[in-house]
Amino acid sequence: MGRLTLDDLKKIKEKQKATFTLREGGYRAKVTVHMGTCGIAAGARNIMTALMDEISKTGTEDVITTTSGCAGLCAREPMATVEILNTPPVKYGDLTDAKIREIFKEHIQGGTPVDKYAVVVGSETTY
Amino acid sequence: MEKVRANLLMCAGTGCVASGTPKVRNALQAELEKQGLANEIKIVLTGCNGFCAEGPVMLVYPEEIFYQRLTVEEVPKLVEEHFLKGRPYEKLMFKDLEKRHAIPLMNDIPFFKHQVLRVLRNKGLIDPDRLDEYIARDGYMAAAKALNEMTPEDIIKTIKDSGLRGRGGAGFPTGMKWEFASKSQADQKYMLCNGDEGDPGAFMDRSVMEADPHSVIEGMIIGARAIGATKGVIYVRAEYPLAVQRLQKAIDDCLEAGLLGKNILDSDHTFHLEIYLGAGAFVCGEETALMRSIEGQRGMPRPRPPFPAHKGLWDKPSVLNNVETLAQIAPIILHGAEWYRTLGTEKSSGTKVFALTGDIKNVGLVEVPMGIPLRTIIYDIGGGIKKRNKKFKAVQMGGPSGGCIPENLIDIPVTYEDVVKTGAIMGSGGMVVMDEDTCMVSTAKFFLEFTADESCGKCTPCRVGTRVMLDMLTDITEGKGKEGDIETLQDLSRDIISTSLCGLGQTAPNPVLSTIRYFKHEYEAHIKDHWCHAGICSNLCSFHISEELCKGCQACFRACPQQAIVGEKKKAHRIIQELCIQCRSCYDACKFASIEIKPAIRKDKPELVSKDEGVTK
Amino acid sequence: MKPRGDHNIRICLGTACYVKRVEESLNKIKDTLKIDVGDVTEDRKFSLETVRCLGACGLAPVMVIDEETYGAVTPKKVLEIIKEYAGEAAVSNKR
Repeated sequence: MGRLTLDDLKKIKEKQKATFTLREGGYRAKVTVHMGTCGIAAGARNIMTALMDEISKTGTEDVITTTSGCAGLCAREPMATVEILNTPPVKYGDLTDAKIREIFKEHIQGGTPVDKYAVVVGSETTY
Repeated sequence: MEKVRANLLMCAGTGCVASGTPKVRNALQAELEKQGLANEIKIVLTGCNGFCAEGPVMLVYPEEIFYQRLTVEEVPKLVEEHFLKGRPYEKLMFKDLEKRHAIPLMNDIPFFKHQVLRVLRNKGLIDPDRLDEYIARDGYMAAAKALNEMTPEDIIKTIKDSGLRGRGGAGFPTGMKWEFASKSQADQKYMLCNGDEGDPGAFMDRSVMEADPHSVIEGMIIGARAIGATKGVIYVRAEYPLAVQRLQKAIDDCLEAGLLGKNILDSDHTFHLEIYLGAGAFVCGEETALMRSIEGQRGMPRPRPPFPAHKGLWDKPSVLNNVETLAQIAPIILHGAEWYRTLGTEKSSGTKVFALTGDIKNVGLVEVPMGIPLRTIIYDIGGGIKKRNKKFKAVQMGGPSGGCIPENLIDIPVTYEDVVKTGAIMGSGGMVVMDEDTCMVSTAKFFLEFTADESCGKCTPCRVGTRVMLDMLTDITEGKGKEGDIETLQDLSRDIISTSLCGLGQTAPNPVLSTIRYFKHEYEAHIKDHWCHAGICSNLCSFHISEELCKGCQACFRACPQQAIVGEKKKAHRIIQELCIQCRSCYDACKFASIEIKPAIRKDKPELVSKDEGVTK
Repeated sequence: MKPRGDHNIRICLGTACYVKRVEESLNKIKDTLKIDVGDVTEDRKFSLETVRCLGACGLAPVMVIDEETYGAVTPKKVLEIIKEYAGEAAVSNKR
């Protein structure tokens, strides 16, 4: 690591931010890729891979990704839900490698939902 | 840069490693690779999580799902359900008391909910072997502040104002200790760390050294700056190999990064730090004995004064702080004395780590603000007594130097002052909970065995006195106790306390005094009635089956190694006393509490046993 | 000095283990192997030692055989574990 100065300490802290965003919370956006049996069969794995690729290429640190089960709309798989903090979640369907990359740029980074791929805005009522 | 979507923080503390973390980790890694998830999900081995009884444990981020009792067999299902399909796997979650439903989130589990983490701030959150992860959690920022922006006086004032007291047991104010040493003039001073955790039943220091070694080192760098020391030693028991390994790795990394050695963080301060392995003698936790031991001599205490702050290691001014105390330092420097005082009481500020063990449901390591009721620790965090039908009897605090706190005092606030009033001591923080099946005379004997063994032999009262007391206690537990024994034990205790040189002798009789204070009737029952109510002292009890309560389920019949139990199915059973060896197997096996413990059947005094329970042919 | 056996059994006598009645397991081992603490069996397969607190109090009572730690032991459990080692030792002797 070489000899450290106070500035180096701050730099290391900054660099490790993503890891601890994951462990301590404080993220801005959460993307859920639906990976039920149907989702996996429809290619959800590639969606996750593409998403991870975008996140690491752009050095994004405040976005976390997770998986969940079937979203209940098997016909539109692969699907993903994007939740930006304090805004309603948006579910996207019929995803492809290119589409998720576009969503990443427009919605996750830009903050504007990509209406043409959106299946539904908001979530079901839960108890 | 690799991007990971989930971190699996697996506990690699001594407890969990013994329960199987390494095997589960390997299986998990293999399964993640098999499922193509190895690049996006990372396994991190952390220090002790604290919930040792449920090990191996794992925390999944970002969801904060807590899994326990992991096994190699469950790994494929866990990976498929949670990491592939995103459905947290209920089977491995913590179950609430009634076992009705699972609690997925760590912070919802009562064991964790009541805790406030300062010393254990990084527990289970960072990889202890990685300096950068420690730095990411504000690591070494306090050292930087202390070295560059503060004078030694500033540092000492902050620590004094914080009210921090030594966590090793006696509770001496840390800031004052530092002040004395800083005022001593010498060409060389030493900053020392006491990692000789010898109190059986306490393991918080081990846990801190394993989980967050850098926090100890940072505390030492700050302390060294405050007192003007350029050299330091961490004294660790050789019985803690994992702690030694992690500390050594941390020291090596610090040397490379310029956090130890010359010109720390580009300042003109120097601090050389090394580890010294102790052989685990209890007396070496005493400061003067510890310093003799580092010097290569036999670990024996010497009279004070001179205090180590004036004449310590190699006769140079030295400060010796306990591991937990040192781990408290960095946050105090960073956030200030006022912040530290927001928790705890006027005289006992901040938090304290306790090792909760014994007959309690949630065994493990807990950190709580001082001043909270003992009851909260035992019932809310600890979950109460483990066995459903057993009652709480006492909690032992302070190990061989401490005492027992009985049920009627369980609402005291946990502070240095309040605990001492009960006759126990805060000590290093061991809390051993005992249920009604515990014999208090045997417990006192157990601790005396320990101190008699560990007495270094320098002072006669301690060397001989503890042995005499042990012999008397042994007699009492074997039915050879005499009238007046209790008074003799008390007299001897007072003598040993007032004429011993060091803490070992001065506190050795405490377990006896405190059990006599609260459980004198048990001593009397042992001596006069030959009756150990708990059924532990096998010469002083006999086992009988209650005809009303016995359901004739034959559980005791199967458990008895002597075939001393007779009776037909679904009818009350009977124990043949001549065959019984008082092994308690039937007592533990009975689900209907129908086994009664009565006084020993004495051949010399058969009248002591009523006729219906008498010797049967 | 006494030699150690092929397998060295260490029983923790720390407070937590004591409260959880490790003594019963210890006595079981003594009876079964017919040795005392500090001794080695006649066939030199097992030796028995006691230690003060291994710091694994969460798993109390604790027994360590060679490098392997066994938690929450009972007289019944220690017997099973020792039988396993005895069997294995017999196999290695045949080779």
